[in-house]
Formats: sequence, structure tokens, C-alpha cells
Amino acid sequence: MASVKHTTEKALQMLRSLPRVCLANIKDNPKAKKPSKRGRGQHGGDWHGNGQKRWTVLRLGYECSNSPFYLRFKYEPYYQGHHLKRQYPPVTLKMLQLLIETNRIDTSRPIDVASLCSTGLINLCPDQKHFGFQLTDEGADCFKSKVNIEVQHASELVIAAIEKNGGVIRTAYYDQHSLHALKDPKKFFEKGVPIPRRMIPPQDAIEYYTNPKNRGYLADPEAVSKERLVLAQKYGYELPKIESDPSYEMLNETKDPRQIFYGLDPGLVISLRDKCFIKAKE
Amino acid sequence: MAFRSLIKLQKVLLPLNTISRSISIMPLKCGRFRSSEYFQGSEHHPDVEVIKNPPEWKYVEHLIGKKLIPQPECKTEYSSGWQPQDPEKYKDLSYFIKRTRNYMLPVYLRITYRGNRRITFIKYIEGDIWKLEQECIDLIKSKTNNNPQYSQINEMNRTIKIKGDYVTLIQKYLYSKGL
Repeated sequence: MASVKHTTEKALQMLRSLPRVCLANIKDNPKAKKPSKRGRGQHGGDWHGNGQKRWTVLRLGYECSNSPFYLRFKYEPYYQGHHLKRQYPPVTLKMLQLLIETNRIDTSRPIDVASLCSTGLINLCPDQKHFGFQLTDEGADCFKSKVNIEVQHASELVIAAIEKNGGVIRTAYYDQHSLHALKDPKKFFEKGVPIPRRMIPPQDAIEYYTNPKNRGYLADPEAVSKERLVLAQKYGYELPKIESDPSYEMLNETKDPRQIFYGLDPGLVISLRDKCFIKAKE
Repeated sequence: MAFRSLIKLQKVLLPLNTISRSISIMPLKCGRFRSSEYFQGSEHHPDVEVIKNPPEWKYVEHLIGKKLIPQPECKTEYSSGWQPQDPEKYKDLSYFIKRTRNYMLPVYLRITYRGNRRITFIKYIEGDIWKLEQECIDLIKSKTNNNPQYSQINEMNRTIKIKGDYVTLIQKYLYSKGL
């Protein structure tokens, strides 16, 4: 009777061939869990709060007879298109005077975005829609420097304050690619790409930059010199003669409307290591 | 107005410089990777000439700027309110304030709690910090109807905190002391 085994031995043999007990193969005892039953009586089948309509899924934004949140308030487009508007971070006249007095800006050269950025104290982010600097009138009384400055926006008082001291101011437009080059010229030259041409201003900015009252860079030079005289009479100061000034050459220095850097034509590749220009033959 | 006036302007600008000839209203070509041309080989590059030691190199040097912070020049008058340190004036004082690397006075305004708390903060103090604090408090009291003033001295870090915005007042006082 060797083939007849004891029940305990059989059970142990079966257990040996079975897989080990783990989380993957255990489950509840039968009838251990009771499924919930639908309620009976008056409100048994209702979907509470959703009225008589027993929809499985309510539509997006629907608040069951409340006025939905997305329709509750009026449309108030105060900031419509603000992400497209051009920004001009301010530089005050007081700050400019301080930069000149602490020898951070050289007044024997024309001042532009590049010379303001190279001080390391003013930051410009062309990728955040900064289209250059605006010169504001704080410290207009204490401003006492003769400068040839090019900014992107300037008020009438600022123009008067600069011209009273025998300086020259001009407002000029730069596109974002030009400003990236102007912000850090060394980094731009190291890229080894040709200097691009400056873009002409967009349609809504052309009127500002062609106006001689704003000393726009596209304005007629004769109209600008007339407006200089008009402003001097309005603010009651004697206009210093630039023509007889010893630094006339510096004060008269301008950029071409398509030029980004002073003295450097578009199309040039500049090698800082070899100290040479690489120019395409015509 | 805009484009018509620009075309008129072109006539004015043209004689100014030869580059102005290139003014034209054209969309950006090859502005994207997909629309740009394939690489044709280096023999298709345009002919270039290398100009060594050009006279316009001075413009590049101006653009690159200075590596170090330049020292301010001595002048008789400073209209912006800033003044350099004057050893003749401060040599008898028992305290000293070091200037920052930008030659500015280390007096700052700290705004916290959405502008509700304003603290005047003075750094880099050397010497008798207690005397400087007493002088600042006396100065503020003389300007504010003898109101009580609150301040804190950190002797370890050599800093003073004064409650309220008195930056300009303290700066002017320190400039007058030659610091």
C-alpha cells in the first residue's frame, strides 16, 4: 500500500508545486465584499444636485443651474496684445550723469545702446520685447554733460536738457536681432557671422522716428536743426553752436539707418583673434 | 502715411551714405532652417578678402569695452550728487565705510512685506560702529521731530539696520564726512 499516501503528505506535495504566496496571487475570501445597492424610495435614483437630468458626465464648465464661471464676468481686454508691445526700459538723466562722472561712459565717443550695456550696470533683454532704452527726465536740472547720445525714446524735456548743454540727441529704432548684437558685441563677433543690416522700423513706429520733434533718425536734418532752435526758444536757453565746437566731429557722428555699429558696415565678419575684417568681394 | 513717407525719405537719405541704397521692403529670406538652402560645398562660398589691421579697428575696440571697472577721475564738481572719498576729511573719524567695487556708498534700502517694511541698511563699516549708529539716529531724529528711531547693529557682520527710508539723508551725511 505504498501508493496510498497520507492526506497531509498529499497537501504538502501540492503546496510544494504551487507558486509562492505573494501580492499578485492573493485575493479576498468569497463574499467578503458586499456590492453597494442602488437606493430605493423617493430620491433613490436621483443624481443629487444635478436636477432631474441624470447624465453620466456633465458638460465641461456646467455648474447645474448656476451661471458658469467662464460666462460670469464681462470680457475686459485691458491687456490685449501686451505681449506684443514694445518695451523701453528707462535710463534717467541722473543715472547717465552718474555713469559719466564715475568714468563708466566715455563722452568723447558717441553713446548708444552698446556703450550703455557695456557699463555692466544696465540690463537689456531683447527677447523680452525690450527694444532699447528710453531716456527719462529725472535729474534734468543736474545734468551737465556734453554728449552725443542715441536712445530709442526721449521726451521733450530730456531733449531740451541735452541740447542746452551743447549735446546732440537722436532717437533710433533697432530690431531685436540688432539689439542682441549691440548688447554684447564681443559675443556677437565671436560667433563669426556677418554683421546684419538694421531693419527699418515697423509701420506704427515710422511716424515717431520720422518726426524732427522727437529727433528721429529718419527725420530731415534741416527740419531737425530748425526744431532745435524752436525748442531752445520754448524753454528759454541759448542754443550752443555745435559748428564752432572743438568736438564737432564727435557730435556730428551718426550711424546709417541700416548700420548697427558705429564705423562698421553690414556684411563684415570680424575676427577678434587675428584682428582682421573678412569682407565678401563684389 | 508710413510707407509713403519712407519712400519720400529715401530720396533725402540716399546721398547720405551708399548703404542707404539697400533700403527695400523685403520679407526675410531663408529665415528658417527648413526654407534655407542646402550646403553646396565650400567651393560655392563667396570670394572673400581679408583686411588686416584695418583703420576701422578702433571702432571694434570701443565696442568691446573695458575688462576692469575704471577708476573715477578727480573733478572739482560733481553734479549728480556722488562724491569720491576724501582722506583729508575722514582721517580724524573713529569709523570708516568701505566703498563698493563700483565706487558707491554701501547704503541700501531693503523693501519687504509688499513695501510695508522699509529698512535702511549700511554695510562695510570699520571702526567704531556704535558711534556711527548714534550719529545716524541723531541725524534722523533732528529731521523727524525727535521721534523715537529703531535700529539694529550687527557687530559681527559690521552692518547697521535702521527702520525707515533714510537712504538719501544718510548718504548725504556720509558724503559730507568725506566717506
